[in-house]
Amino acid sequence: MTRPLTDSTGSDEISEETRTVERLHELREHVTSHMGGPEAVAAIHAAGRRTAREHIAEFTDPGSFLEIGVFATFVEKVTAPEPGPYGGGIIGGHATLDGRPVTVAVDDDSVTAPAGRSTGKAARLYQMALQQRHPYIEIAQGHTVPDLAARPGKTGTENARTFGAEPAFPYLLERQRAIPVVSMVLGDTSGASAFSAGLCDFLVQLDGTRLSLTRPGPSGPSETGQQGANGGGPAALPPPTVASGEVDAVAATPDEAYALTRRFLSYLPSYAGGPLPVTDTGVPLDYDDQIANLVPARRQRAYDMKAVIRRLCDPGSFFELKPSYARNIVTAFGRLGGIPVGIVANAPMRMAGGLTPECCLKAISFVCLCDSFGIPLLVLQDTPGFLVSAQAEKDRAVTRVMTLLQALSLISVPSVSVVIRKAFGLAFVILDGNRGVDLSLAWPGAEIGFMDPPVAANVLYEPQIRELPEDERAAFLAAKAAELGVIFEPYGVATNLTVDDIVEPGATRGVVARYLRMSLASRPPRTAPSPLASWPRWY
Amino acid sequence: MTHTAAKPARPTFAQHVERLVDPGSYAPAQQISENAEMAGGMDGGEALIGGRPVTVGFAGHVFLRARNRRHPYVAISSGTGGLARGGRRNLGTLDPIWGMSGGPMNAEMAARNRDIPVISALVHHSFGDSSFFTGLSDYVVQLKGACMALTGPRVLAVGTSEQVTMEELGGVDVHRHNGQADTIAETLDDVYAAVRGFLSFLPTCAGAPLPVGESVPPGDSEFSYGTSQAPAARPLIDALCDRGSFFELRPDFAPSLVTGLARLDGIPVGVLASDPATGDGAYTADACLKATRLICTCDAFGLPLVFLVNSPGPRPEPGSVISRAMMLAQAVQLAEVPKCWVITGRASGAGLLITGPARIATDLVIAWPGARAGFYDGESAGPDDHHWAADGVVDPAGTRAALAAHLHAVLGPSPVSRPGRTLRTWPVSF
Repeated sequence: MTRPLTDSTGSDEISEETRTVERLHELREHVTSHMGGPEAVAAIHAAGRRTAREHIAEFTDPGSFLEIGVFATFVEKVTAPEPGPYGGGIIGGHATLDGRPVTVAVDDDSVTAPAGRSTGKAARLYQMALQQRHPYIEIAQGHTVPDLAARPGKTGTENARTFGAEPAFPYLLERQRAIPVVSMVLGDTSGASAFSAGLCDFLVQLDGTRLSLTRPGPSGPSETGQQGANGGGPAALPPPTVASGEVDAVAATPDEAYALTRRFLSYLPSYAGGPLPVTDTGVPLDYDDQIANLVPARRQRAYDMKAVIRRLCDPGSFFELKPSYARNIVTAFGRLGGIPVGIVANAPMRMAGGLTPECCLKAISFVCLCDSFGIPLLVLQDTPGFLVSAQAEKDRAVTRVMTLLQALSLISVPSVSVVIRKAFGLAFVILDGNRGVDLSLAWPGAEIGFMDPPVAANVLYEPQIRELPEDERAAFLAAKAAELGVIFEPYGVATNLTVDDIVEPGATRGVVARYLRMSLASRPPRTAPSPLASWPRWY
Repeated sequence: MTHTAAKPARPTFAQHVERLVDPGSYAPAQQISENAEMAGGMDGGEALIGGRPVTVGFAGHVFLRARNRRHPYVAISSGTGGLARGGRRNLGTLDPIWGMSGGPMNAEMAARNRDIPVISALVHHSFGDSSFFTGLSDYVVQLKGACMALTGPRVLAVGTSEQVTMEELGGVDVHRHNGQADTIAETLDDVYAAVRGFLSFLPTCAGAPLPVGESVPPGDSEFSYGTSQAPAARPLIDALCDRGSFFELRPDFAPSLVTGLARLDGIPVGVLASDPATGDGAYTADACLKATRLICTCDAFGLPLVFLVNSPGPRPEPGSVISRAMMLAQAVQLAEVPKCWVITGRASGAGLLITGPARIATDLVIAWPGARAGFYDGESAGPDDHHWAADGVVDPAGTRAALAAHLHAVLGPSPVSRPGRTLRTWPVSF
């Protein structure tokens, strides 16, 4: 059992002041080591897991943790004779990650009663991170109940200070990406602990854990009915949140989850509007005579777009998000001459790089993230267009496509588009931000036009084709497609500035990096948040 | 497209407009655009609908006229897209990017910002630029027999070898179930009536006066107060709203949540009612999309929101349940119009957070006797404990009066739509 704070530990033989300090030390030592009780802590260790305090110790820079709310407890317990368990179901405070300040809030799953989590404490920690303008990180590993009781008048964020008096749930609903928020799911999670997963900028989930909004177990199945590792049953399947696209990265171990979070944050400013973490400005921008070899000239040949991105970016700077979802498009962070960039690229290895509704969603989410935090965008195009099909229309292709157009129409970060090999029709229009990107480039071998030439020829010359004998049609089509191919050379669209310039593959890295440098130097700092900052993270 | 000789000629663009707008009010634009020539003379102009100004245009062609005049834009969409429309006639004039679509979509249209209401009426097959505009519209009505898709069956057949009919590709049965059509119309007259109906609830632009009408008492409803049965959504809406005023949106998409526009004592409102008779009234992932679109529209144009709640909240299902539920919770939180909650039965699960506690002074939370709320079923407070119902427990028969009194009080005698600041730039389509 937890001892109440009113415990007397005094002795008559020492001074009052020493006694007071010693009592604090003793209580703090008791609270921090006792947590939810030795049995609960032993059970966590027996399961091969870490307690909340151990997560913080392993995750943050050594010795940097400054705890907040050591003696906080649950709403219902504040005035009870025994106010514990202390911590309120959340252990949190400020710390540094690679030297940069952050605030962390970790589910204390050694604690079960009475509700498992005080949303008031999480709200308080979030509010502090917001005021200090640095990232807020939640580690979720519990099945917890939010305090949602309706009490009119004020919002949760405003009320975080009045811990225990007001419901504090809405603290993340109003966030509008003012500071980066990361959610690390390191144990089975539901209820209030799952909320941040739907509201964060980066969601990393430990493989084998189960994440759901409603509580799994006898009262109902999880979002897929699948059992997580902690609940027994098959853990071989990836978390269902991977298939739904909600998870940005899956980690095999907690240590990997920590590393992924550090990596993610390394590309972001500490707050929206803050200075970008530009590094390694000395990385050379020399002509790259190898990069052109990565892209086969024949338009039907597939190649690895990620290899192209790696060569364009500073060595070792490529960091992909959602690598297992909608793999025909790549969303990744990288650096060019030290400047962080967000990259959206077609991936010809999958479905020839054709776009699907899922691709649009993946791109929308990433564009919102980049624009909210001022990270420049680089779009690399090689796509035959949208993969039209009855299924795509059922999956709301029109909605997804136009929402991506809407998002790209609202961006204000520096943006560059490069057509690597081909871009047709609506896909080009959208990926070029409806002529909204700052700088639109094409490689000299690129094809740009309203439709893939063979298809376009077939549609355009339908009447003529119908009149021809069967055996002459193929040759006629090929000839007409070739005619269109000439129109679709990049020099055509360069004449009316649909593309701003045609750039050698080897010079691309240098051109983009120099443009970004100039652009960042001359743009005034943003005075209002991006309209995309309030957009949902995923849907 | 081929047409058999027996088919009656389809109305021209001008004929559609004449039948849609107040008689004799159509004033075609004097200076038609290059687009119009490509579209066979179709372009648009100004007219009155219900005595209020609108701009009517072919697809998105004259959207900017409406935006500059700050009144609604109605797009009449039917077309094969730019390529097939003009390309066969004259390859020499093809824009390499746009075919014959007539150049880039304008940036204001793509960014939307919901400063004016935008409506798409799909009166015939719509592909390419004719279909794109629906994705930027606040309201989409589709005529039975019309197909709406990114591109037509012919391009699919040539480009992908997929053989599909118009109906399979983008007919009304596709878009009634995926939510891309807000209304399915049986006849052209139904299309025109739907457009006029939707517009009747909205101000001419964000910030203009709300179109408050005469108060009309509710009509007969299947629902009668005093029974212990939880009322189904539609009878309850009928019992609360002005007679015949309920204008339902996306009825066949996510049917566990009934949404639409209505009048309450003359005041136009958005209504979101969980339907315990359908799927237990759960906030499914799709229901979250359905609700979010309406909340964004109402917030942008100043319409109060009325939530009628009897729901277990989100239910376990495959897909983006967490994200969509949180998206809806965000939309509710960020909406700045007056919001009213009537808890008629249970508000449990994470449904409680979606339906939300009152947060700002213009909000109202009332409950019926016996209503229960709690995060998890079974953990609800007792039926007599209604501490979460901030504005008290009301007699069901007094619900309409309570809502009307609240809305009149917060809106004042001559309500002007006060557009919210945030949701207006959210995605238009969900």
